[in-house]
Amino acid sequence: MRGAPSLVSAVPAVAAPASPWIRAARSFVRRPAALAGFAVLVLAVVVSAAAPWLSPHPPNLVDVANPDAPPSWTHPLGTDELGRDITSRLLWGGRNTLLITLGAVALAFVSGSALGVLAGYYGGLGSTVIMRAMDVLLAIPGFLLAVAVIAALGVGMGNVIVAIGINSIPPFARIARGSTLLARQEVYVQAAQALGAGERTIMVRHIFPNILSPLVVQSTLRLATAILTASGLSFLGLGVQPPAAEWGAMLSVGRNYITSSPQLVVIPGVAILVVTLAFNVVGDAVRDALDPREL
Amino acid sequence: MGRLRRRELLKQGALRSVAAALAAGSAPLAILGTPGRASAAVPREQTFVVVDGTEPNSLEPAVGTGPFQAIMNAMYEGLVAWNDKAQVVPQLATSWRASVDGRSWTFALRPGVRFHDGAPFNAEAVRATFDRIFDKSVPATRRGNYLLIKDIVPVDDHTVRFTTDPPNPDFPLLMADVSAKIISPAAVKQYGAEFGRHPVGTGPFKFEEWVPNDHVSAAAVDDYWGPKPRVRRIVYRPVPEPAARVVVLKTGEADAVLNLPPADVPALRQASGLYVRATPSQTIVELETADTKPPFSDVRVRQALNVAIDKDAIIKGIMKGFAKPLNSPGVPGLWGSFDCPPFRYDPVRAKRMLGEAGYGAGMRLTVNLTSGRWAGDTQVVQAVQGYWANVGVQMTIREMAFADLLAFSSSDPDNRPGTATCLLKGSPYIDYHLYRMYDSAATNVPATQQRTGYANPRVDALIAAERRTFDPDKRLPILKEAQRLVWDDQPIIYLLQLVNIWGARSGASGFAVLPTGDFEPGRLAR
Amino acid sequence: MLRHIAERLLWSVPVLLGVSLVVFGILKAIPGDAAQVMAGADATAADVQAIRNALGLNQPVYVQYARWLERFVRLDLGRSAVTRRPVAYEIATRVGPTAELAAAAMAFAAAVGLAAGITSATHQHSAWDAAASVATALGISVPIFWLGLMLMMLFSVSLRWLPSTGAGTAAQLILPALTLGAATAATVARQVRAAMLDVLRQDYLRTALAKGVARGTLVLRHAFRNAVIPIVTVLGLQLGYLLAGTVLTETVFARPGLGRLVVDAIRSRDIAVVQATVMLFSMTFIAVNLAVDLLYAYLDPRIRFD
Repeated sequence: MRGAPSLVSAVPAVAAPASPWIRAARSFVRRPAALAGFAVLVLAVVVSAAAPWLSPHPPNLVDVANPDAPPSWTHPLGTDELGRDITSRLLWGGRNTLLITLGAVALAFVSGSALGVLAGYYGGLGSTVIMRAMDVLLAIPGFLLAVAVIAALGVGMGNVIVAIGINSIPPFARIARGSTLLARQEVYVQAAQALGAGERTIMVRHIFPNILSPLVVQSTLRLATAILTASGLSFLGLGVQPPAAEWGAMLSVGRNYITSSPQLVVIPGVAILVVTLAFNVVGDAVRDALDPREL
Repeated sequence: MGRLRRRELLKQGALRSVAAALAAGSAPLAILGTPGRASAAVPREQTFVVVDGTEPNSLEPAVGTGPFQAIMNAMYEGLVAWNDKAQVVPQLATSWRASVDGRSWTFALRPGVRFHDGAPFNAEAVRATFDRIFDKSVPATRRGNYLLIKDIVPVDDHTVRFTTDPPNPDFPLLMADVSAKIISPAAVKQYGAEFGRHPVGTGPFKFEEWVPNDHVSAAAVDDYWGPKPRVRRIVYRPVPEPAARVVVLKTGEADAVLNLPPADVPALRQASGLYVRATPSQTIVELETADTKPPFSDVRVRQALNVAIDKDAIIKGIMKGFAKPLNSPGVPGLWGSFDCPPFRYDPVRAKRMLGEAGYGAGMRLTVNLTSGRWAGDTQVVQAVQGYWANVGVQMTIREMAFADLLAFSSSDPDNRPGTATCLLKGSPYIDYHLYRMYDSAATNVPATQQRTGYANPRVDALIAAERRTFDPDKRLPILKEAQRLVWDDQPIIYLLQLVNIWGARSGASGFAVLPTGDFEPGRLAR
Repeated sequence: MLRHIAERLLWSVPVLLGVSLVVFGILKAIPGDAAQVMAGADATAADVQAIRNALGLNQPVYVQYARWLERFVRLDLGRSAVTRRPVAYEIATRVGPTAELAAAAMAFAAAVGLAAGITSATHQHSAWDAAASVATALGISVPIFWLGLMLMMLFSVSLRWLPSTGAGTAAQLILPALTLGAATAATVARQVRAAMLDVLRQDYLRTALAKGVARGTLVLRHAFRNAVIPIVTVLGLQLGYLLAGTVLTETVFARPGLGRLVVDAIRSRDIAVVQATVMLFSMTFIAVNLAVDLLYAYLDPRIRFD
């Protein structure tokens, strides 16, 4: 219930910190697509976490005598080229895929935000160096940078997380710096400074919570990029290594059988597509909900 | 109509200029020249397109080794060549004979043959070819095989004599290898180090262009000395993805495709407009172990690990029957190779043997692998991993780049106990195979593959004896005894022998893959 | 204006230096010995040592970097360890198919993205808008290589309309360009829609509409001109995505381009090739975004840089 724009409406911008989040949650809930995407993600996370209990078979159990079996009660999605249960591999694959995705974005979130807040708070030469380093990282086309980092570190799950994480640092750093520059001017920061709070306390306790929302928006959108990058690396054989189940790796092996057993490509591909779509839809909704510049 | 064409031209023009703009950063590179598509003039009906998985590293015979050797056969010829029965037949040489002491070989050369650049083929050209193999600045991959040649004498224009030390009954076989194909001395002089980009030989097809990662093409030679080629042009295209090779066979983009994945054969056999064949291959698959230190230094461990693998199930389930069990330390199909009594799959026995060797509580092993080099590689190694797990052996698979794999397998076996490397071995003749795999003079040489460190003095003595024996009837029993001894030792983990799986368009004829992986280009027809 | 151009050009120098440092540093960290790779399987220890000396691999890292950079600036890119041909030749022979692919994908993405985005914005909340938003969401979510495989199975294997592999003809360009351009088309469509909606909401346009300016003219002449800057920006940024995407697309469609070259080179530890290719991709990306930057002034009369 809002009337014509008035002078008053401009003032409450410095409202209590909790309220924008609640407002965002409300706006989020009103979007059916966002809710559906969110439900998909919750389901994916729960199922992945419960993979050890839900899987009908061990994911790497080879049964050479029974390859390429069609769906049955014992193997609901059939078996792959080594007679392994596709259902179990899909569940465990989701676990690994989500671990990589969340791990990489968490890594970028933490290190990117830290770099950005430091740069924004202190400014000076350090800031210049950090931000120019970010420019440099951004100048190397993203996926190529991940490929190069993997080449140096070697393949494997931990290294994939690092490669994609490095790839995702610059946007976090840029956003954190920009927001910190603005936050520094705010009353609450200057008040804290006046009260003699330590610099670390100011950055961690006062600035960070107040610049959180654009970083959260960036994280949700970055999750989609991260999962696509991870599966792309696996596709090139530069990601998670066999026999570990991971969606991109399953797809990578499956493409050798695409003409004889297309389901080996279709199933993990659809899984990646659905989860990425969910990340994107939820990411958009989160952005619209938290971003004051509503479209 | 006219408008459409103009629009198309405009579009292409626009693409070109954007391309040029993108390339502008590398403008000075342009002088190196991008090979044009000069050969578009020959219609598709007269062109035979062969597809395999590997991009050539060089088109110089001594340097370029890999599955693309097939295209080399179109442009080059050797003194002798393999036929489809793995026999050596005349090519640029019309006849040859060994001296009584076996130390020298005299080849009579075919008269009236010219290289594609017009230079005459003669004894000097033969000598120049081998001078280049011995030239240290040329990265000749199989130089070591030819070091036994001590002297090459052009007796006259069309006779050449090689002197070897030690004497070698297999010398003509060595001359059939791709490395020994004869190259034009004039072109070598002209192009030097870049000869590999400008191949000139005497074959039925003359090099046209090489667009890296896309194709190598060669045009039929009008005045070829042998039977006239039946197509005007031959194109070799590397398509690394096995599934994509199936696709190009189905769509007719290729006339013949090599190295088809076994899983696709049943469906391809149902497809119309093409045929699929599975023919013998000289390539075997094995895990080369580090035999100098425990656990692989113990013969019981090696035997147990061989017994623990159900190779028949792997061949049936993963290779879909398109592989053969390997029951010989030699290469079944090669002259002088003998089958031995198989070690039957018996996990209970394997477990007992491991217990006797002191590994009842299990052990950890690592197998290194470069995937993508043959259809089914990762799958077979993962199956082995599963079988070994059943007898308490935890095996880790380590994927690595091929260069790293070679570096690893040629490093000191003392420094990598409990590791094995999955490798392919293609050997043209039996002595070549036995010597490099099992003679202690060859199994622990720095910077060579197959560095297992395996050593058995009795095997060494037998190999030395068979190499000196020119009389095949006397040589065979020695070869047999050597292989029996090796088989009892099980110095490596024997997995299987591959089968060449290839297909061709129904109309195509004359295409047949030889056990060496080569084909005879002169016979191709569409 | 000139000063601005000069500043921007100058600014790209340290960024390029930084990129070169990152590329050199990353590839220096690659395990394995370049000399060993170059020497081949049959080399002796002395051979490997000789190559190591020749390549300067025994010198301190910063000396190696300086020498590498100096040669790079002189366009001496070294030789491929695998083929032993000059790296410049390896790149020159593959730049065509990649440039073609990136340009075609960009053209496709720009055309489809603009058309879809403008239509969605002018018909906000219509069925078309809804369908387009589903399509764009799918477009940015689909794994590029998976899309390529599916298109190949459909159009090459089942329908046999288009060739599956290779490069050189227009037919061979269609599937890879669709594959590579799909996500960019979706991104562009979303940006265009958002930018157009932003502009369409502005008061002056409402006024113009009220004054009776034809809607079509309005959209194209006024709204689009004012939305063009964010659109050009996103196109410039998407080029980086397209260049990197050639790595996957060219692998799927066996296209003889730079993307496949760099993957093969990484697999075979052909470091000189990887360095030069990644540098070339980055330089192109930087150059295009520099050009975009400078375009602003031309596109938007309000922006003057002095």
